[in-house]
Amino acid sequence: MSKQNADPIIVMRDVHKRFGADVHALRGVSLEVYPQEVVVVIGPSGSGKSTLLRCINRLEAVDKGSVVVDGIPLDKTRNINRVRAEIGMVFQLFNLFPHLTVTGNIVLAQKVVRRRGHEEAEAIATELLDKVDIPEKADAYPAQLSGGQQQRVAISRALAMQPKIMLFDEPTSALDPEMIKEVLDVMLELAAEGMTMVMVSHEMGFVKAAADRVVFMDNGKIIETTTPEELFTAPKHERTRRFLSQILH
Amino acid sequence: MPTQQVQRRRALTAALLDSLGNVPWWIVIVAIVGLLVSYSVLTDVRYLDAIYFVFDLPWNKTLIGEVPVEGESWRFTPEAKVPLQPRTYRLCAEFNEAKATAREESVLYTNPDSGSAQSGLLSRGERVSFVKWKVIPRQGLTLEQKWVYVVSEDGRAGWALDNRFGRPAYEAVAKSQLYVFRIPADAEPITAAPIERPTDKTIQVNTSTPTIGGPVVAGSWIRIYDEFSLGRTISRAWSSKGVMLTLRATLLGYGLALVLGLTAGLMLVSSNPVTLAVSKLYVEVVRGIPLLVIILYAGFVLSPYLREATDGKIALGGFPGAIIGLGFGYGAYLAEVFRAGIQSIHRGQMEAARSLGMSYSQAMRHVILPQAFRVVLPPLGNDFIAMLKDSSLISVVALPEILQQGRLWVSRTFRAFEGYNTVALFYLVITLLLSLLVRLIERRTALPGRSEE
Repeated sequence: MSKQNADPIIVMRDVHKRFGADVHALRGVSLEVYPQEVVVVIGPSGSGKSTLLRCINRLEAVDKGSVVVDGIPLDKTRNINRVRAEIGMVFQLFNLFPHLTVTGNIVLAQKVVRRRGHEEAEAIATELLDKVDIPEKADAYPAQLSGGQQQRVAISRALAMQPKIMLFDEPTSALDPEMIKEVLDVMLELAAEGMTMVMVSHEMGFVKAAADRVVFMDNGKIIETTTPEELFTAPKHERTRRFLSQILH
Repeated sequence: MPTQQVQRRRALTAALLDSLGNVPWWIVIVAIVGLLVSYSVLTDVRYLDAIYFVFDLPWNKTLIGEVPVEGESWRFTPEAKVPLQPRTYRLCAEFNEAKATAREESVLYTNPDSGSAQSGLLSRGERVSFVKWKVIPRQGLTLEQKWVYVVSEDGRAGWALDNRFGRPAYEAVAKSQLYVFRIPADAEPITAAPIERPTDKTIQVNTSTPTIGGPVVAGSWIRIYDEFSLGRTISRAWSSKGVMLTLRATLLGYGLALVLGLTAGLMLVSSNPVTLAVSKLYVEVVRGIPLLVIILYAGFVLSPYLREATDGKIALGGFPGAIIGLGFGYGAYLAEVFRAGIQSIHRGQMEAARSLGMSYSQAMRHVILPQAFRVVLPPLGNDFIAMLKDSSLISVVALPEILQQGRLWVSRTFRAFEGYNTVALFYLVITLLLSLLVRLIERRTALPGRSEE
């Protein structure tokens, strides 16, 4: 817990989110994430994990409660685009822009949002593609790549903005088993470099290797927050135990 | 034996059907055009006349000036109002109708389009057939005013207007491009001047105020025309009637429809209730009114009202009014096309773009619209072709586009079959070419790595 000395970079207080009248996705969630921390959110399907993540960059507006990122409260009056530029997000289905090449995907937001020149943006793209180990795919289109390659491009696209926080929404669950490792390797490297990461995932290998904290959610609430060691050896809550027995065969 | 024969026949039929299925689409156009052309050549030349008329090609050269002929020479000094720029001009010696009639002589005429010089000695006779009867492609000439060969008393031939020789002189039998003139035995022979200058010539003018001149056959008129130039021909073609007017109206109207449609389409997917209501109102109202009614509104309500309201400062002509009608009417259809195209792009694309810090409009411009464009390209092409056909509706505000020209031609010649065939042929050829163009663009903009077709 050494990383918790500084002020938290994400503060969520009593966050509620409803979809329509019936679905109450978040029921009073409070969470603090500290700089350079890696937090993994786990929980059964429909427990509100993804909604929690999407509230952090206001892809979903909260109904009640507050979200403060890097000292900036996310509300309607703020220029959300400036905050979002500091938060990278990686999606389950990659969401690459299919009409642009790999380089085009990485360069676009740099030019449009960060107002970087073309050469500078391309240099960053080349560097990042080296880092995720697919420099030869710079001119390929997303549809020509495998799932794992696409996800690595998506990570590069987010990193090109030099964000302070990275959000991962089940980044490996749409991948073939063989491709999961190449994506996880990139993420492990990121964690080792000290990136603040919030991730929804059931990759227990990653949890063991890199997570500082694990948040277990069920039914729109945070049931417990523990370290990975405690999670696997001595989960406090009965519901957590049942969930773990389901996913760890 | 019979079974073998049957088998062979079946195999042949199958092969025939198979090859029919593999006929390239452009063969169909070639076949249709070929059939019509050969039919027109075999039956009647009037198709050419109709095509000239409906197309309204800019074959007329610009007349710079007319030169008086004094005796047997001519002289031309340009006046200040028609200055000759240093350039190449075409000089034509033309038949002077009034004088020729008075003098009862046929004066040489040079037809710049007829190619070879139609002159020479012919044996004196009662019957002259003149081949290669060429339509002078000039609008306004009726059939009685065609140029024909006549033979003079002394056996020399020349061009002249056929109705200059009087009714008792001949009777004409028109049949498939070959006019046969029978000169009755008791006809008065016509004296003709010798044929000397069968061709026109080009003069090079080097200064802006030259005096040019030369010898000429008595009774001629000299006219100076602008020399043919591609640029001027194109600019004249752009402003001509018929096919070019249809293309012009379609292009401009479609441009307006694209702007309106894209705007309304973006408004249709917005979350603002006011813009949503405005765009829905536009789409529903305009789609519910026939395009013809909208064009009549634009032509007979909007234009006069604007003129009155602005004290004549904004006077929309018939053409801008028709463009507004077409564009406004089609904008509603295109709005729905754009809306569907935008909504067909996966929600994740917008989320990914927004999560990178792009604003809504930046995401639209850089991420959603480029993808939506590929989706809507086929329906946009469809609507362009539909609009080309619907541009025939602007003939109700008296614009001389293809259909109007065709109807004019029909009312002059009373030949409805040829006239409307020509109109239909023009539309058919243009739309087939356009659908080819749309397909090419689709193939160009397709993304690699996607399975095609």
